[in-house]
Amino acid sequence: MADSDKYVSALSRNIRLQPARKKEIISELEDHLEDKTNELIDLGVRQETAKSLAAEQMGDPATLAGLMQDVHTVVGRKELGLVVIPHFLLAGLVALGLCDNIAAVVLTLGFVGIVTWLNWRRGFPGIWSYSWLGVSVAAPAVVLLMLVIGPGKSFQNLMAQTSYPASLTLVALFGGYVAVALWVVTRVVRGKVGHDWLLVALSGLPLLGLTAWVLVAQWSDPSWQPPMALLGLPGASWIVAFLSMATVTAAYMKFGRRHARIGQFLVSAAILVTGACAMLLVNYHPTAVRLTIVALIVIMLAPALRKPLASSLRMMQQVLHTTVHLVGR
Amino acid sequence: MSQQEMLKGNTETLLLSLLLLEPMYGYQIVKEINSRSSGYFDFKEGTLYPALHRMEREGLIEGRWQNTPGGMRRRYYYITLKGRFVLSDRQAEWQRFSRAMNSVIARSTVQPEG
Repeated sequence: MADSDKYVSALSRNIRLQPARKKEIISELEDHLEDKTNELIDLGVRQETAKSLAAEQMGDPATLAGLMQDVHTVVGRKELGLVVIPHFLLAGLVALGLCDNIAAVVLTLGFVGIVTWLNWRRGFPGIWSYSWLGVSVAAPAVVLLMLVIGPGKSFQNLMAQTSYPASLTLVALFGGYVAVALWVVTRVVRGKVGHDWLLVALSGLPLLGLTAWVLVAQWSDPSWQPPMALLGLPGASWIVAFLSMATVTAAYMKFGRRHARIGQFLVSAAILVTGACAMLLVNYHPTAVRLTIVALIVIMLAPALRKPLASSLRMMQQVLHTTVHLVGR
Repeated sequence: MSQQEMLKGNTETLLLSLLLLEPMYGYQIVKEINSRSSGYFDFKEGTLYPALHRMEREGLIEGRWQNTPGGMRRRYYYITLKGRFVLSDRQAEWQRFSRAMNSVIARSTVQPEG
């Protein structure tokens, strides 16, 4: 492989952005490398030497990739504003006392879902749209979780409060929303998780908080009925929870460096879950909280562990193979 | 202050000034700036491309893929209306700055010893 090809491969390895943006950046820098090489060839340098010299003159590919990465991951004030909007919308819903108004809830979640969908279907979503995706994911997933946890109990109670045909509409809305949202999310996550797993993990932050809360509540009190308990919570608790998520997301976006983002994600996720459980539940089981935090963080960060785990397995296989070979001799 | 430090503070102004003349692609920009400054400014890729992309995100310039006269596909940068306004401000500021600097430096030129 020529030095110029190695240079482009190194650039590609070190830029972790959405595929469309990444491809554009690599193409542009590759063109620059080609122009540099051609200029050297025109000056009489041999082709292979020209390729090596051009790659050398371009400097360290990892540094250049890092600089390009920084430009495209640091967000401005406008994007920061867009990042916190879905959390503010939910906080506003509660502040206005509209969280038990199904039409208002459906309209809000529908609006968040449509904006997310419009932004993601173009193939190049803005960095701000991950928090919108997170809210779009959390609601159907928690509804599904509640249906699974309390079959014939929790969801049925909610249904019992509404009369026919409103109850049927409610079932259709919940069912359709859960199915469509999970389908969209699965497609999005499958396509994006390999390119920027950290942003995908961040999108799951609302899901992390709400799921942990539901799981811990169910563990601590088996008679706990999620929908009723959710609707019966003090509004201030909800507002604080949504505003905390908005703050966490905005702070995360302002961190340019990847390791700082990972650290912030771990700390904020732990604080979010513990805070939500402590604030929203009267009698929660501390062990349940700890285990839930660990389990959910591991799940969220699992995509990042794929490569280290795979290489560790390969190394163990090699060691085993060598040992068997030596013993056999 | 080193040449690189001075360049860092004025990269945007230089790039906007150049793109005001005509749309250019990255390699062309490096060559043009080098030629116009008689070799004084030597843009490195690590300075040029992050600056171009940052300026594009700020709406000062716009990148478009198109063919060169030689038929190669390159990403050309165009100055936007916002870019023109920003450049106008920077040029005015630079004029004030250079006048002030010259008025101080010109009166205190160091004479060679001996």
